[in-house]
Amino acid sequence: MIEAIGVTKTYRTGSSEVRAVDNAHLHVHSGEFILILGRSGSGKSTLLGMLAGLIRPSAGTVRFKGMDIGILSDDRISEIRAREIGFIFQFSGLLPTITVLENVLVPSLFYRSGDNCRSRALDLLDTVGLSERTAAYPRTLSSGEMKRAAIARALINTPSVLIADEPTGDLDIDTEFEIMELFSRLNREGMTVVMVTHNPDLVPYATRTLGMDRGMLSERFLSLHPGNGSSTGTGNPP
Amino acid sequence: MSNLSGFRFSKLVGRNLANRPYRNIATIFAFALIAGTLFSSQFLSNGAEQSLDAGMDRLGADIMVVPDKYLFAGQTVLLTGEPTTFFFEDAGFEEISRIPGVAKASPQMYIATLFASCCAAPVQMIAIDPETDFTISAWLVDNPGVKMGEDDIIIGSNIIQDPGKELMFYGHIFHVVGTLDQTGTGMDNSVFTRFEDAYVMAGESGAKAVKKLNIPREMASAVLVKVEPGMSPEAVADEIERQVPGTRTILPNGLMSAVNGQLAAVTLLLEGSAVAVTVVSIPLLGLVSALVANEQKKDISILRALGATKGFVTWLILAESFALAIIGSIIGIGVATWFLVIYQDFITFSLKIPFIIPSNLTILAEGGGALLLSVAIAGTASIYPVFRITRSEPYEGIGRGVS
Amino acid sequence: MATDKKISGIGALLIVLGLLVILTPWVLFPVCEVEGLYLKTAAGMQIPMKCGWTARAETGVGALIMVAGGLLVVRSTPETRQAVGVFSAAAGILVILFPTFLIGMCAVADHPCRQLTLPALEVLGVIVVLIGAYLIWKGGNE
Repeated sequence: MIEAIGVTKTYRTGSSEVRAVDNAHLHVHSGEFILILGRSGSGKSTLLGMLAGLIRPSAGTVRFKGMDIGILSDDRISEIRAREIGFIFQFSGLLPTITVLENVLVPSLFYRSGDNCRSRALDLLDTVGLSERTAAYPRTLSSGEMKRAAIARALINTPSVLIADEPTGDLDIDTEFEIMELFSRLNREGMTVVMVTHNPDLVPYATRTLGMDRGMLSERFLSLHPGNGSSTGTGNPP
Repeated sequence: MSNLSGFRFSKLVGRNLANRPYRNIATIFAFALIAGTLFSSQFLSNGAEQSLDAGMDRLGADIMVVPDKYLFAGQTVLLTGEPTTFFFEDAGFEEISRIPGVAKASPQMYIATLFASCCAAPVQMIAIDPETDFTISAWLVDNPGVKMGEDDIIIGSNIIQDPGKELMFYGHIFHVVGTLDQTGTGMDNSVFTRFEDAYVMAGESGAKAVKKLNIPREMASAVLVKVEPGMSPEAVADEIERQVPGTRTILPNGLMSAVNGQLAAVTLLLEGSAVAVTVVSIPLLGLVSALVANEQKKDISILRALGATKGFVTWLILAESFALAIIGSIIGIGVATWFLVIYQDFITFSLKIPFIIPSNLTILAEGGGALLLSVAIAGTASIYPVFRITRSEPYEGIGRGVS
Repeated sequence: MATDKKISGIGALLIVLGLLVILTPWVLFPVCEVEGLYLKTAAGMQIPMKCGWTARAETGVGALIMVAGGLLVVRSTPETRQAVGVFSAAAGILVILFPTFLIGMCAVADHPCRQLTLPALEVLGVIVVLIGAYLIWKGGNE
């Protein structure tokens, strides 16, 4: 599905250089549920941005379904993002001037996955527990509610891959559980999920877990069966 | 870009605009000012031009020949209708008729009527020779029920009286038989009578009027000339001035230049204002546009991340700018039109120009022009933000190295 | 409350506008009522000095607009706002109709009543109507 080959991202601030991602290799297969664990500042968001084609790598290649997105036109990449990728920002990223329902419908401006966008949006908002707040503006929502709306927005176009940056970061335990169950169900139905979190309790949901530290990605060796409580270890897979 | 069952592009534009009311009101005001001033100058000069065309058309003449001492008075009769009385010292009418290129010639006499009180209309009486006249006769052809007999007058649109009623000048009673259409020129303040009736009126004025009127017989104030088809009015006018000493000619072009001279100060002020406002506004609007785009950087990055193309976000920025320009222009043009229409009497009398409200088509064209200018300014002011957007990466606005 | 202050401000504005309506035909852009209310012209017609009568009518309407504005300043309930709104809209229309259709001004284009007084009253009338419409809309939204 997505392949990152030796991707590096370097930021220059003044005279110093910061390597947010350092020579990362990642192959995301279709249908996988990948969890990337790491602390703040480890480069997780930057990696996700590169996987979604939002950030151009300083070095290396990213392929989406076999296509090198580095050589695609900007319009083509935008089309891929609209049709194939559901992206959840770390900060939820709702547009402040429109309502919750309208926010969920925004991706339909770029790609229509069907004629019943509105009812689909309402269903999704119901699934994430926001059916009472469809007409509310983001400034009146709690951070947890905003995150849930962002999740609904990412799913409106039934993407083939969901890329989520700390999607349960602002949520209480019960809601976090509900959202993870939702992701798990979608994954079983065929959606590929790549998720970043700093919460190790979520590992059992994943089919594969990786670690990220100071820009370097490493496989966490783990049984490929989610939820069986196997112990984790860091290092290269056998 | 729009989606029938989902969310519309136009709604996004509208919501974004509604989110910044005070700044948008200021922007709209700037565009209203630009469009309004430009529109006003066009409105005035077109109104003057169309008025003159209507007036000269009404007159039916290509050339008006007046005594050279009374050139200005002759222009005044046409332009503002301020009453005046003057005569040729030597008629020269027959000579003029004989000049090659002159198809028709007809004499007219201009008599100023008396002011009785503050509220009586200043009236220019124009005596015509029904045998040779082609001014009123054209109107009479259009209105076949009307005949001009003894003591009959035809009045301009500004004279207060209805056909069938009477008016009195120098103590002599006249019967109103018709009213001319409005031209915005001095014709509107004029009444047309026959030479014979004017002589009778003058003869009786000693006994009946407040002041005696003296009109010399066999003399005229002006000679109206119609030129042979295909001949150049300017050439014929030159020939008249050459062959008949003591005369000056007035042509429509010449009148328009005279009017433009008077209008020039006003149109210069208005057009100058439009230019000044434009010159000041572009950088100001550019600054506002850049500030807004900066504030919107995060939102635009989010849209890009969700799949918006560079074209989409470019159109978003431009659509917001254009919307403000269009709203502002419509308000500016609307208010300008309203003020120009309700104050038109004040404008024409204080500027001493002929004026009628331009035709609807002209107003539409003027408004369209002003609107286009505003939209062009809006586009120009948006160049920098659009340029920045199209050159940046989608995730730049969201912040790098977030985690 | 901020809204109450805004409505009081609108009330004060109405008082000012009412005063302007009164002052316009007498002081600001005066009509020329020099020979009384009727006039005989040189042509022998007797015509009423319409502008004088219009000025009197505008005085009355202007006073009523001031009263309405005062009411809004003193008592700003939603019902009062709507009532004042309806009244102002109607009064504004009258301010425009008096010099145009109901009574009129001098028919002669070069008279100050036509050139200056009439347009000024039209502008004032439109502003009063707009304020009235705004009050009606605001009252209806609460």
